[in-house]
Amino acid sequence: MPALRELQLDFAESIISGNLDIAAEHIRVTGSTPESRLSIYRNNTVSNLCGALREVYPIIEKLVGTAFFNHAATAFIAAHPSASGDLNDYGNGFAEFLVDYAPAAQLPYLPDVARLEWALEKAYYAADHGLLELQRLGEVPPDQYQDLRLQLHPATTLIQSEYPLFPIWEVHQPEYSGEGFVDLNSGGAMLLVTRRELQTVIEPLDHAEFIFLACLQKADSFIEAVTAAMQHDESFSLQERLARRVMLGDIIDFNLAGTDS
Amino acid sequence: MNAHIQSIGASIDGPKLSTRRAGIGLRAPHYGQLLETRPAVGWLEVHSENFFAAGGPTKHFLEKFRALYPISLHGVGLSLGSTDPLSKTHLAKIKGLADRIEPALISEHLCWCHVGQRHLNDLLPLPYTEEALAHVVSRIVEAQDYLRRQILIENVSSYLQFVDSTIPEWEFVAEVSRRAGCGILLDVNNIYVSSVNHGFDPKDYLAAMPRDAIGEIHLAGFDKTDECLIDTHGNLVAEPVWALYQETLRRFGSKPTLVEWDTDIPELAVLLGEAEKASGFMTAAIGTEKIYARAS
Repeated sequence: MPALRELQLDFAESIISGNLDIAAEHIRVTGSTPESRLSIYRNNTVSNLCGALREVYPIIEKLVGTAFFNHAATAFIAAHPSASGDLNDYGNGFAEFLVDYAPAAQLPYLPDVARLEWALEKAYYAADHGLLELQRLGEVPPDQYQDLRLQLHPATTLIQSEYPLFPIWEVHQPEYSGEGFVDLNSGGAMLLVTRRELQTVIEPLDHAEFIFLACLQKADSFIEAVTAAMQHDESFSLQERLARRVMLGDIIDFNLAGTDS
Repeated sequence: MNAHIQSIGASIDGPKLSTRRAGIGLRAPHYGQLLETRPAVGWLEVHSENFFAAGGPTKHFLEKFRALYPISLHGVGLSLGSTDPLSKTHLAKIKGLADRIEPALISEHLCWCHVGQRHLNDLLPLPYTEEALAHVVSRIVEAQDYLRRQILIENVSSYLQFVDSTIPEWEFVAEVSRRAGCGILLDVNNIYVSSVNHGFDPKDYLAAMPRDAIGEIHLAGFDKTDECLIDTHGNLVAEPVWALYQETLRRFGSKPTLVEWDTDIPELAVLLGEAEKASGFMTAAIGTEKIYARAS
């Protein structure tokens, strides 16, 4: 193996595993030991990645405290090395990691909070999109509804949880002035996470609309989405809901390409 | 060969940044105040990766700042020195951003950041060997060909040296620029930090730098631990770094200079104070390289 490749592989293994002696033979230092100087790089990498996680998951950190968060983050980093030169890409999969993270077993709502925070992160960086003119949608003849597919904003994530995610999020906002107590048995959550203009938003949905939007997201036809929503709630006020979602920019486009699209 | 790289003995292409007013690194806590007060800084530099997003607030703000100031793109993640293949995805994002923003210049670091698909998200030093030299030069040429423009390469600070190294760092940097036809972003703080950590004379470093290839200078503050200096970008520029900066300007004449501050980010006024101080030295140094050349 070429010397440069070997050096880089040893160095990276040292830094990621924390076994600093792996790379020690490549290092020349004055007035110190190779391990001591390698540990500076190890600390940089871990603290950069920890910092990236801290920015994405501030509510997780508040829920568990900084020391616990740092432990969990360090374990996550060891199991999931960064795969991008853009630190803003880091942190996907933290929710799934927390599901199996034994020290957090007593906090079963944590993974769903992490899902919500990752959805907010994605929404923040998602592509921009202009508004759809409602009139254009109105001009689609009803006999084409089986081929009509509505498209959600690229910032959209729909999240379902058996825990009260919305109040958990709300009490951790800087402007919140209530008691800061959330009853974990106060009911689950069905949330729309998206971005409107520059603002990321979380909107609690009723079950029928959650079903409707979830169908749209998996590219079901308009007819299929309406049918599913009305099976759950036959009074589902389609026209009003649809108009609102289009005007807010949550539904941004449509196509009539049929099932092959 | 790339038609955009005019000569192999590199000099700087493209629009010139101010040699009288220092620029500052653009960081989120300062967005509001900068837009409101529009201070007279020479330009703004951003970390390219922070503006890769296809939409949303980061894109929105950069477009606002672009209308007010020249922008330079400073990448921290391309990993030019890595022995993994150069990431076309990462390069394409830089290109897309550059096409949108039309930056005055694009810079990257003379380092590696990932190997075996694992990113350390840090600026890691290369061993200064013939093998590493040939490798990193080929990668810079590849990046410049892809971006269809010259880039500047920054010397990094380091906390260790490699047993394999056979070339002094300053000769390595100069040779990279000469062979790849890239410019040099001379980080004076990094020279000082490494000179203390490794025990060399920073003036030897300056003496090896090709004047016409230097397209930008960086200044920043370091932290001091018991055993070495750490390049944290979290402090005022230290006195010995100001002295080395003045020496740099005496030697090369005024060069576009930027003050970086990335951790423990202070009030905007503190950063502007540092930029003002640099601007004073820049203005005083205009034309001095001729005097220096005659005297030495």
